Amino acid sequence: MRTFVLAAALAVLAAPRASADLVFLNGGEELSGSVVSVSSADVVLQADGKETSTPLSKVLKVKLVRVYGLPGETDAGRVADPDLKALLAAPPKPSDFPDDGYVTLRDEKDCAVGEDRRAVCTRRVVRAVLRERAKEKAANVRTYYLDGVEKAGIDWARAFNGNKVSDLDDTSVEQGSEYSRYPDYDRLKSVKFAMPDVATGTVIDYRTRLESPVDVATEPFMASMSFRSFEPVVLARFTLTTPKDVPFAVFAHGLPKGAEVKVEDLGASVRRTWEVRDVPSFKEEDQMPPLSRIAPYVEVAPASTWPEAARAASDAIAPLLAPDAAVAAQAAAVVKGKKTPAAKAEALYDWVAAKVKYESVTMGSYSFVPKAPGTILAAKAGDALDKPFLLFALLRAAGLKPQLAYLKDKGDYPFEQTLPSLGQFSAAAVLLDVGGKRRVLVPLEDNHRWLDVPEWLQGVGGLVVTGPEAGKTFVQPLTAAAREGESDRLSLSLSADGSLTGSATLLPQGADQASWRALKDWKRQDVDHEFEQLVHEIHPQARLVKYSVDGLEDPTRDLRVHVSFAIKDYALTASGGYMAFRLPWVEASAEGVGAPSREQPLFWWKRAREDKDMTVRLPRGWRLYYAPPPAVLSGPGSTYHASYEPRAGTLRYSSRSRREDDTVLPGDYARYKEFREAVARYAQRWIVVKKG
Amino acid sequence: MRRSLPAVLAAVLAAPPQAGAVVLKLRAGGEENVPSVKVEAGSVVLPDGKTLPREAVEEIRYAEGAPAQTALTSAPAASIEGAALLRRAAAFAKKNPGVDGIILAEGDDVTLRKDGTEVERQTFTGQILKEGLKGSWGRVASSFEDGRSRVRILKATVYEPDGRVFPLDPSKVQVTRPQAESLFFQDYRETTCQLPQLQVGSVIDWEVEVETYNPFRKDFFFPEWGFQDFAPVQDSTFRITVPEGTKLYTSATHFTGPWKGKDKADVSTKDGRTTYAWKLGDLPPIVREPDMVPYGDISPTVKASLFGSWDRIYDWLSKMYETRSTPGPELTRFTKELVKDQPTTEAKVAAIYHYVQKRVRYIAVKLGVASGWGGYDANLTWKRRYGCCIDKSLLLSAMLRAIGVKASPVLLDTNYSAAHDFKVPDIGFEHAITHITLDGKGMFLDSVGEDFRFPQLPTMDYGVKTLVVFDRKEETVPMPKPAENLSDYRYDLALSTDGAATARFSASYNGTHEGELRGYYKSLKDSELKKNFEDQVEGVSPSARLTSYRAENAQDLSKPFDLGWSCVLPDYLVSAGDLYLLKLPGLEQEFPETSLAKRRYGIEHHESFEKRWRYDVTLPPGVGVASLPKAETLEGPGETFKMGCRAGGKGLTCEADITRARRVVDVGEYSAHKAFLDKVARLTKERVFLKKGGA
Repeated sequence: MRTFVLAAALAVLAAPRASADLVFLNGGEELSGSVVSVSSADVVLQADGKETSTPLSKVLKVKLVRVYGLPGETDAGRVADPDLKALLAAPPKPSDFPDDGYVTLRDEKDCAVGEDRRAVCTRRVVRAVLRERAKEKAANVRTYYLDGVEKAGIDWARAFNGNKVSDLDDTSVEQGSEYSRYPDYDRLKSVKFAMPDVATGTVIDYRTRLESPVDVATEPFMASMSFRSFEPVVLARFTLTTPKDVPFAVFAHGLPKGAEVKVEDLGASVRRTWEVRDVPSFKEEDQMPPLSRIAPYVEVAPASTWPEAARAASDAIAPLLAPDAAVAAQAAAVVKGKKTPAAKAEALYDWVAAKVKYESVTMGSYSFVPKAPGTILAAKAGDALDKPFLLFALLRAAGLKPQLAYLKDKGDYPFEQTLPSLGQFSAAAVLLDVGGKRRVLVPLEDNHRWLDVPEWLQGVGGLVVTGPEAGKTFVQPLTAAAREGESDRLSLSLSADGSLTGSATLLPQGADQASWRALKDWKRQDVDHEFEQLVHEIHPQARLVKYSVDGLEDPTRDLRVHVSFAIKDYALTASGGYMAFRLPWVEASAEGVGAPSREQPLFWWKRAREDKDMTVRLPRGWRLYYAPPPAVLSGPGSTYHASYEPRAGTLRYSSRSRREDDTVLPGDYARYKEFREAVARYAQRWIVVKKG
Repeated sequence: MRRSLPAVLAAVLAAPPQAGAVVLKLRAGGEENVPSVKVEAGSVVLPDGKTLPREAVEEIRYAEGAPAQTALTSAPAASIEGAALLRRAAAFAKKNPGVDGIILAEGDDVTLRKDGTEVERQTFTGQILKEGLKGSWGRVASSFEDGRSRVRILKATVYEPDGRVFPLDPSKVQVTRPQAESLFFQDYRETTCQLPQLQVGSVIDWEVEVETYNPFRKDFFFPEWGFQDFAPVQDSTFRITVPEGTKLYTSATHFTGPWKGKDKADVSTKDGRTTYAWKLGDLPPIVREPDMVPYGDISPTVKASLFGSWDRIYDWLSKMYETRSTPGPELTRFTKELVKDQPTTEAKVAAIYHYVQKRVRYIAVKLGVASGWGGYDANLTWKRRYGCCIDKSLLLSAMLRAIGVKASPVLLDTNYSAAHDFKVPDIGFEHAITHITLDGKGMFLDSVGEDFRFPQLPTMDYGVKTLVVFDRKEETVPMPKPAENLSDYRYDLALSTDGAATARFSASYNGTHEGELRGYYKSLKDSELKKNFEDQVEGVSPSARLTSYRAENAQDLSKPFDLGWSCVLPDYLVSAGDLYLLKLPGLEQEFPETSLAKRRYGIEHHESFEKRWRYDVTLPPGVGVASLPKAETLEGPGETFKMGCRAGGKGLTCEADITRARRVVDVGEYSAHKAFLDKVARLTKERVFLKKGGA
């Protein structure tokens, strides 16, 4: 039997108040009250001043409900914290924050590393609900922790409505697994809770706790705090206390003017504080970057260097690279008959991408150390680290010289060179020099071609962790626009009755190709439906004639999608012998750039390209009455060229659209808006033909 | 500082306890098994005299007689068995080209024991034919409730095409507690394992046993099975075994086409047990179609019960609901104060409805049978100011009862799910609303929706059959007439000779659509509201400039929500030589539901509606009408459309109107429905042709 070691840990938490315990009976009934006693005969419950006994034979379970209040603080007048007391005496009014749903009055994160080099972080939040729309966001809280490395808890949580205090209790607290659908990678847990008695005007006060039972130097420990979100903050403070013999690196990004930064010598330890006041809320804007890329933040980690961080990883990985007969045999089988290093690498990439199931869990949610290649191979399943690591091992077994690198997730805080820590990374990649070129291989999902990098890993920082360049950082660039997007070629024929027939060949690249290639896993009937829907989106009277996708099952080839259609009643007719129509798939919208200005950049995960070439045969006996003149348009990071060219009995159309950046800064937004509007206006123009 | 990483840190899961009398669930994680336990004052006392602070223990579970939550393995499967399965799979796959997987056998075998406990064995044998299926078929999992049920994975074997066999490794079986969605608090766990070595061609063969050793009611036995799947199924079997002499009531639905006449069970009795068995073969896969009816309305399905009348369900529910919807003195006082200024009973009901909608936020805490089905006491929900659908229904009922209005909780499946089969009783409902009697007239209210003005309710409730618990009757939520869910759009456009325009738009609503829009607009900050309208007008025409906007009463349920804007459209008219093409903003409609030439299944919507558009267009001097869209009147199954334009005075007027009276379009009506909607979509693409220099 295990020993009980809890008492000491609980002593630091709030003393519980008398609770409404729950007794669940075998027959399904639930009794509520305070458990007075439990014996071998019965459970005695007190409710409404009366004690009732329930025979144990009827009892399924007794839930000793914990109340997350603070001792003695049974109403607002008895609150000991003077700052909170003052806030409760004069809570903010909705008119103080006319645009917002709630206001965070205090957001205090306090991380302390003890002499035992273990970290404890608490988060104290006090917020006031200003409008009904925000009560859910304000009152429902979730804290994540990595099992085995962290433990999460709630110190207190309560809601104030005037003088009344409503404490959270266990009935609306739940602890659970975030990745139970991946049993082999089920490690990230969370504690969530829903505050009771929350309405407009409620002040919520809670403190959560994350304790780490391991030395901060043995895991890529990192702590961080964002200072701005979609609701305003009156006071946000991040405090880090560390022993002097455990140096920490810190990085502060974008803190507003007036932010207070303090370093205090506490004798054996150092306390650093970052404090920001009166931070306005973000407003939702179209195509916004992830919050982590725009919010001011502070990140901290034990001081290190990139070579040290890489060595920590490679030291853990080295024992896993012992020769493995199964891995060697698998590599040999896959590369059999492949002559060149590139062919071998592509074959191994395709094999890992397709045959090893991707369990979509990042390193921070499971482990920064991969499983042994043989284990991954045996399971034929791997996460964002294990799949690339297996490829790395297979490439080595095939006689190639790969390096393993860790990459940042583009959705996280931007890569920070001055903060060497493995904790910055989410996924792994294999670096391989073949044919005089550096190739970056990320074999996560099998719908990408071998040289494609998923968009969430483009434009991010990385660290080589094994191989000759171990310890070097690098930037994984955005994939070139030429290798993203789609080229469409259409051959169309307009009839005198206004119907249109045509065939199209689509040549997708990059992420667009990956989307198309996902069809390989669909039932044939589902694919049939997909093409019918694609054609129906052109026009309600459109009918699919046929389709095919070349190379769908062959990951070594680019896809070519062919689709033919016929559309009755396509052109609009007007008296006077006119027909008007627009070409399929040329529409462009200016939605999303309606606002005259914006605060945040426009953001995309990748570059974009769209090329279209069409030929329309006009009906005999009709002449082109009007076609739009050519357009040559450009905006920040973007260009659009289009032209119509009449030729004997036909009209040719060509357009080239490029976006070479993943960001448009707010200062460039007005020009970008003009560009998008001009493109949309052009795309809305019609072609008119006239009889005779 | 030298940093190192530990070896792989495997997920740490609490080891399941061994069977014993009492299980202590500890707050620090993990469980302990002890012979007995006492709770005295602030301590939990163990038999050896050790004490734990009460706060260290979260739960005391009396598990006497509970089987251990362990996994068993069958003997390693013989490869000869795999070879037979692979041959069978090859033959069945040949009959079903293009599918991503095939199911050779799928079954559910449910046994009710004499002592009222139940054991269910689920079996599955299938072959993966496309890589994508490895994700959804690659895990075996089943949930259980501590103290009532347990799960054992009896078999989980992967047969590879090359003859290798991978039987279940018991060390890979995990017991986990999945975190529920953010608004749900539940108390169940899951036994799960990952299947190894999956590849295209692998045959998966598993068997899971779920034993309910402590049912909360021994007569509540409601087995159910749907025979069809999204992959073709060679054999689908359902067996229910009950003690001999026990009457079993069954209902079979959707046994049509090739399965007509196969809805009768094969009944056999042996060793004091009677088994009812259904078996269907060669079931084609369900293929997804846009807006298709739910799975349960397609697949042949059997459900059963030990009793044929709903009385026992009504008795059980009424007893719980009666107590829990009785307002205490404090709630009664509050309710009367809340409605004291309302002049009529209807206004009082509306005020209470709006209060429960808005002041009690949706949180579902389902810790046991009573809170799961019975909900929490209304007086507690009122204090917590959170609750799920049944909690809110009980509170609404209690508050209405406090002012003398008859009200009853109602159970139903929403119209997002299959129609509930009422032929035999069960308790598997997914939603709860409220039925009230106001001035002698019955009506339904749903206090889960926060944005629906009395007496509106969310569309998900429309047209479904319900259980009105206190009235002990089944009743269908009526569908509103189209005009009762009306969106009325009005545009005034003034055109200039340079192709620019000014536009003024207003929209008013009644019915559920009003509530849906209110919910959206309520969620926006004021600054975001402006941006929203800027985007709306940009959608009317690129480079549009918003000049004014309004969204009225988004926060105030007592008043109708409406909105409007006006804008300048510098390049509104599309020029083509000496022609202008005028688009009627907001009119163009698309109907993805008719994208398929033919369908296998009907279409299911959630509501009836009517939309009206009116455009008053002022033309500039020197510009005349060249051509107007033809007037059209169309009819489809339960739907109408009309549209027409007329020129006159200094401009023209266009009007359009579409109605839909029914939620469901049967597959036999599809071609008429498609013809109707495709024509409507085409007509709404029409343009008015104007000509410079007059017509």
